[in-house]
Amino acid sequence: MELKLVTNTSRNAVIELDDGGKYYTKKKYTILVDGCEYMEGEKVITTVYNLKPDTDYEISVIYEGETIAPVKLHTNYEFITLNVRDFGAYGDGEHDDTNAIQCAIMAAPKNSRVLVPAGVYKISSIFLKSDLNLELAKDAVLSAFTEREKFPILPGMIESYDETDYYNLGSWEGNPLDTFSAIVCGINCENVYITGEGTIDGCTTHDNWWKNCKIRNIAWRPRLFFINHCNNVTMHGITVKNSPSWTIHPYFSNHLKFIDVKIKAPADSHNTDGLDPESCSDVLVLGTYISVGDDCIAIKSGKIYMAERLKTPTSDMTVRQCCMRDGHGAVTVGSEIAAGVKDVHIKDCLFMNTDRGLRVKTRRGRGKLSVLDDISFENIDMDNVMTPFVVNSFYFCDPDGKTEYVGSKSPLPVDDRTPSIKNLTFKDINAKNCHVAGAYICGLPESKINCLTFENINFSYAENAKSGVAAMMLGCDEGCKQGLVVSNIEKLILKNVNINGCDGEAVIADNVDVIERL
Amino acid sequence: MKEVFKDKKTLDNLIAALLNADLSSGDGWDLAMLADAEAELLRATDEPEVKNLYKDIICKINGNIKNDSFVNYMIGKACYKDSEHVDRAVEIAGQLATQGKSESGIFTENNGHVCVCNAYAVYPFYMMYETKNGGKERYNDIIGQIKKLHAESFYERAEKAASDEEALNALIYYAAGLIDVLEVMDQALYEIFGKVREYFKETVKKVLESKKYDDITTVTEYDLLFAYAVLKGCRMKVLLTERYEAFAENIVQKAVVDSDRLSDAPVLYLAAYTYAYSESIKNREYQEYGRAKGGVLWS
Repeated sequence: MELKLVTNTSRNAVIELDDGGKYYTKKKYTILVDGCEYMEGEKVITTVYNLKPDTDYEISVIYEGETIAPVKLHTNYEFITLNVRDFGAYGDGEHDDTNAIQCAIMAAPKNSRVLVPAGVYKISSIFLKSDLNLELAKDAVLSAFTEREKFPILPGMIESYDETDYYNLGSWEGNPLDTFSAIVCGINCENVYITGEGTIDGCTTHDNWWKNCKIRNIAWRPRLFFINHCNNVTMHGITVKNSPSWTIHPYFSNHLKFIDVKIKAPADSHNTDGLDPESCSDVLVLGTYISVGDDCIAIKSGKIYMAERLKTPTSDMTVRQCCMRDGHGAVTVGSEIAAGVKDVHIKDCLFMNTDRGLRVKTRRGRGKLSVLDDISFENIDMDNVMTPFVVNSFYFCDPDGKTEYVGSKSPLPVDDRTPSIKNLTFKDINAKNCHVAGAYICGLPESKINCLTFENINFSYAENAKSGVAAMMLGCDEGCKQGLVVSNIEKLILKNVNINGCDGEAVIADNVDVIERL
Repeated sequence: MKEVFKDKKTLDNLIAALLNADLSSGDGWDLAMLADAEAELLRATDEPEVKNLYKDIICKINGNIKNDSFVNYMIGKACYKDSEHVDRAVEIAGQLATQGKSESGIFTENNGHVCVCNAYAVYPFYMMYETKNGGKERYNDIIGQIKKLHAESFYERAEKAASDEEALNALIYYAAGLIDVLEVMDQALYEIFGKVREYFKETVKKVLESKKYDDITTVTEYDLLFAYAVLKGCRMKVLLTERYEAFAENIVQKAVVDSDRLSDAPVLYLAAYTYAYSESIKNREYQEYGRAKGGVLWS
């Protein structure tokens, strides 16, 4: 067993203790800082807070009575701290502290810290800037107003003076549309670190943003956190909850880290996806807990308009040691994936009580740039997931989602509108207490999934399994305790796949060219 | 009356002209256009007198429905703008299923003629119906037809527009039709929005190339309809306000200065004037107060 340093700032350090657990360690352990007991740990990824800048530390752990080899670190240099209360913030839960916090952010020099101490700070939108280290202390809450009139608007498209180009700011469900600015918003920033034990609370209820949420009112609903064309952004430690819509939405941004973040929204909240990287690359999600009303993580790359303009897939993404529960999908790819998604790897995670584990949502019309390739799930435990794997190439979203073109099960000509799926790999998965099906995989008949691999997979079903609809597509009837239902695949590899207790045949394959059973 | 509207005399003149208009001098197309323009004026001003005018003309044109005619769609478009007449609009939409088509699939009337000018009559209503009542499933048909129309008719008209007034007027109707389509469509299919926007801008630029617009002396109904399209484009951020608004506003102001013409103006001129004047109010409201005052209102 090894103790590793994941990252550190001037004020905290993130450590990883890999005892084979997923999100939670198998046993609790004690963390020591410079030999003194600091706290009891129970997660694989844990943060040590309240360190001093520019200082040497030794962090070790005692695990089942045994001291694990320590890690040594030197915290970063820090020039000054700008306490938002010194800039006029009240933190009393009543005054509008937006300007005071924004002032502190804009005034912060490089290598400094903007500190939000304990208190409740009412804000509308605050904007990030480059070279910013924003710390929300324990019991600090950035508590958002919910009156839409208080929020600025990010226009979808602004035309250039010479009329040859557009500048895109707002984004709504894959299109460049006018959207209220996020509660915390970054545009063209780099080197931003948001950290701490505090909270950003969208304060959304069914009486405000979630009411009539399908109707645009002045502009589309804000995100809780939105970054557009940003680089080197890390969110660490904080809790983000009750977002008006998608909670964290990185957009055309690169080199992103989400470490030890807690993302929460009620199960009945509307479109409160946890983390939706859209056309981003080099994304790490580590040690993060997500429990929301929609998809926990939804990987996207826009609808066809933006895809054709900028041709930017989401790529090079790793999700590790995360816990996802209560969402529609644990990790979803889609449905706005017109520029494609590639090189995405989910491993060492825990999925609980979600409707689906992996959920791919695509459809005809997403376009030829919509290529999904090299997506893997490895070493995952799923418990009480309705259907662990769903690949739906007939997803009936958008105004034309229920047309014959989208829903036809007969092969249509392959053209510029046809999306494709190449390689999907699922390995070392334990899925217990499944309900609807082990897997429900549908490629397009005219563009089959190239290769789908299941290796070392155990499916077992709940004693009182509930019936349900595995995939949101025309022709998918309600089912219960189905095995693997697969169609329109070139090569299906089944290696050590155990399906225990399903009703009917374990594998129902239709229009699968080759099935390799190993 | 809305705050931005300060020139009461101009509105009074227009209302008086509309009240005294000799509607018998207009054909079905003109009357349907006037009804729709009055609906726009009502939206812009909230004037009770305008509401009465609109209701009267809707009753009148409802008897003008003729088989296969594009004018029916213009009547439907005007009906859609009042909740009391939506059922009538939906009824008219039934014609879409049986409307004749050209070989390439573009809606045509009895004469089978394909022209960009017909976009004004057909597609705003078709799009409005799909957005409000049709489930948006035929958006692809609409954009498919517009693309073909653009390919088959736009370039031919555009080539002639510099010297042929009829071709120029066809482009003006096309511009007005396209901006009305954009106003009522759901932007969830943004690629369609983007394509219609592209065609609209291309058309506006082509019209502006006409020497006629170097210096307008007498404003015609076509100039006013073009001003309407341009001002709506500015309000919807489809056109750059700082580049285009002054041109269109100049046309409107010239027409306002010359408002004595309204008393015996043909119905078509009255309709175009009403459109342009209404959009001038709405556009200014948006530019001065922003969307919180209700500026951009499309889907």
